[in-house]
Amino acid sequence: MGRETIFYIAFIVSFAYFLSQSLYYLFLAIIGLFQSRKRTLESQEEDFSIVSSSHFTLPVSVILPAHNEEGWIVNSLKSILNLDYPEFEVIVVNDGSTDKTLEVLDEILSLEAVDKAFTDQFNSGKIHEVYQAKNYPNVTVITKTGGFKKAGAVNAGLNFVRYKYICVVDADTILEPDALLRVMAQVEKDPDRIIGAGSYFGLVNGFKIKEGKILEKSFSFNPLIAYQNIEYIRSFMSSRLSWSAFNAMPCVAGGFGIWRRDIVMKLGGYETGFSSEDIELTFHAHDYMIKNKRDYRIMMFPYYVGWTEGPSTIPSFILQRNRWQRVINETVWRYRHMLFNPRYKWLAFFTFPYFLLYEVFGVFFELGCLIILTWAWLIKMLDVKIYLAFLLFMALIQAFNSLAVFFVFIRDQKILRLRYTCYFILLSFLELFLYKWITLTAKMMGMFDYCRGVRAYEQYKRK
Amino acid sequence: MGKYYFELIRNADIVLITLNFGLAAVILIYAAIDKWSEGIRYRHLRHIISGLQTLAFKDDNSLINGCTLIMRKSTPFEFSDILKRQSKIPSGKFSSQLMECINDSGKIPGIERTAKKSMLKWRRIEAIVMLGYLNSANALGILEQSLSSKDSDISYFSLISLGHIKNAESAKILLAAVKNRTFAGSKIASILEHFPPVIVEILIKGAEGQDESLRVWSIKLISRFKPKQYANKISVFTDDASPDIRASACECLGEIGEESTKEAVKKCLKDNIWYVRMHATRALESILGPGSISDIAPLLKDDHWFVRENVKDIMVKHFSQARPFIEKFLGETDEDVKRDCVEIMDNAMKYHKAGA
Repeated sequence: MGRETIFYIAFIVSFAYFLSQSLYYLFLAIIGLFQSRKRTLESQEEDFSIVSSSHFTLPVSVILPAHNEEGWIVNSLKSILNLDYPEFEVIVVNDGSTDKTLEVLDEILSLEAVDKAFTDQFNSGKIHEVYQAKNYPNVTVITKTGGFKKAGAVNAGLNFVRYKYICVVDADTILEPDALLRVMAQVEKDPDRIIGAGSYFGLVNGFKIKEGKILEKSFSFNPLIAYQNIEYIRSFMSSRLSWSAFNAMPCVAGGFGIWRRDIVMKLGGYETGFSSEDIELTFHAHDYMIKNKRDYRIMMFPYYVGWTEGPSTIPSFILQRNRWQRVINETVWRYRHMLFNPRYKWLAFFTFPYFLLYEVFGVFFELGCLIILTWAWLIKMLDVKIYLAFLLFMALIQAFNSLAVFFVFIRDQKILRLRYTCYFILLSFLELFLYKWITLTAKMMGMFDYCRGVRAYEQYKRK
Repeated sequence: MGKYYFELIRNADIVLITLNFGLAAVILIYAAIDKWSEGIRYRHLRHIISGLQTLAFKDDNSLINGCTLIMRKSTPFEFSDILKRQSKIPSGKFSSQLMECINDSGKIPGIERTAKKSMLKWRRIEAIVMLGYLNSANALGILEQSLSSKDSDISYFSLISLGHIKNAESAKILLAAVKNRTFAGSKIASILEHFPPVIVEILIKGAEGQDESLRVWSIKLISRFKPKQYANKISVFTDDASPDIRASACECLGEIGEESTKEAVKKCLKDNIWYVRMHATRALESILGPGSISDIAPLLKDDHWFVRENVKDIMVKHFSQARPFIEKFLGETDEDVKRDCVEIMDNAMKYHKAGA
């Protein structure tokens, strides 16, 4: 086989890969277009006053795991305490913090150590103290050490929850006051079947916040943050919303995720052996429910429920994406039996192949394609015109995927100013040249670390 | 070959460039128009509401005439917005006459028609929700019909709309939905909870019926109204075969707090099912206060953790009455109970210190 034949095969494979990917995304965007509209209209007509004032509204236990979060915990906790919801409790898990997280918590809550009986049912590490807040009777603080990452911290909190639904919130996430209300209003329609639910959240970078309240939603113009915002919009408003329509949603995001407690208990809590916990738990829940032939739904909604801090420097961004890549690989490998298994329906034929092809092996296709093209151009096998035309093709496909979803977002979530909309559109066209390289690097490093057996949960430095 | 690929990719690029720029233009135009139209709509709505607010200070005749005129000029969207924002309009004389002027506006038949058979699903839902606020003559019939729609959204918003018509007839329809498992019992209960106490009689009938889900939710709802006159009727349910009914009955009796029902609740302290015992302890404490300790304290040795935790909380609350029992338990051999007693003493100190 000559060099030319190898090149043309690679060329056709790459072309087919990008075309199939964009068709897949287009399909997701079309479904997302309808789903987002439906959910938005539902929310407009909903009478939230019934939910917010009823004795029968399902109470929720909010678990807030925190590891060295002295800078963020005040805002995060206060945003939870400001929630407009009739009954909820908060379990803060101080997971081996070496900074002043506990002192900060004590300052807000006025903590008092209590002798509370509990049974440690999961992999949680070592639970040391249980504190009750004097100022807020519905807040409990637990201190623990012994590792097991965020999963271990959530597991520790699970030992203390009282209510049927749990809501896991990241310590760097600021919730909207109606976050629980909006999502639980949907869950309450069918609590027997809905076992998990998530909703859209974006990046808080650039916002003006005081005491857990968002004073101004001024989105950051830092390109790295803006690209992450575009990615979040793409992921939540198109992919997850569409997968949810087919009950094949693979990830209730860790930043804000609602789960039915009995199901999480049945799963044995969160899996601590993975680099991250959210995707694994969602796949695990699907697997458990299908194997036990139970009727269920795992839902995703387009309402903005909270805002989380995104990495604002390239090294911290790479660190985060490296971990995301590892957990995708770990999950795909663990649940490989789902692939094309008719029992798993849409999950087997629609979501799982996507993960395998575009999330696991995608990095090789994309990087391989760029390398082969550049190589062919350098050795004069490929005309510069074709080379540039192909690069443009890749950039335009990427931009189209973003713009299609961006339209859905603009139509239903009216939170962006016009100048930021223009900025998003401009950035969409340049994604391949400015942002794609960084994500590809992070993904490659994630692949490499996965193969080396790295399973750490690295936390990047907060600003 | 190379030329062929170039042509192929170039054509794909041209298509994509056209699509992308077209889409970008659509987004920008949409965002600009949306912002502009929203501003206009908001200003118009504010104008209508301030007009209605001004009318509140006029005499009855000019109020109805002025209001009817405003309503006639309003679009269905504005109409719906006004209904949802009734709280912004002064209450009293005006709010009672708002419905009258809405009825006079001549728009109700159109709304009813839309709610009944519009092909546009969300327009229909909007009309359904409006009917709930309007409570027109035909509203109940239309909503009852749409409640059984195959479309879950239409059915759900009919349920919500029925919740705005807070009368006995709509309560009956909602309770029938509990029976038919149209929606989760908790959802329907949260709607019925906001109804006036006149529905208690209907709930009592529901509690005496055959369907277990309806019975449980009826009893739970009765507890929200605390009707003392029905306490003895409820106490009969503590003998029911279903543990859910027994537990709900205890919960309800605790809420009512009628002393004549204490024996029925005490009986449930010995129930085989743990959650019945748990609700019985709470109910008895609610009825008898500190006087309940002698009956509740022995349950500190209960098999179930939740019952014990509940008893501990009650003993902390009424520590001086619980003290003799704690001293007795401390003299016994059961290490778990001893530990619980120490915990009660510890927490009681904090509880009473905080109270002081």
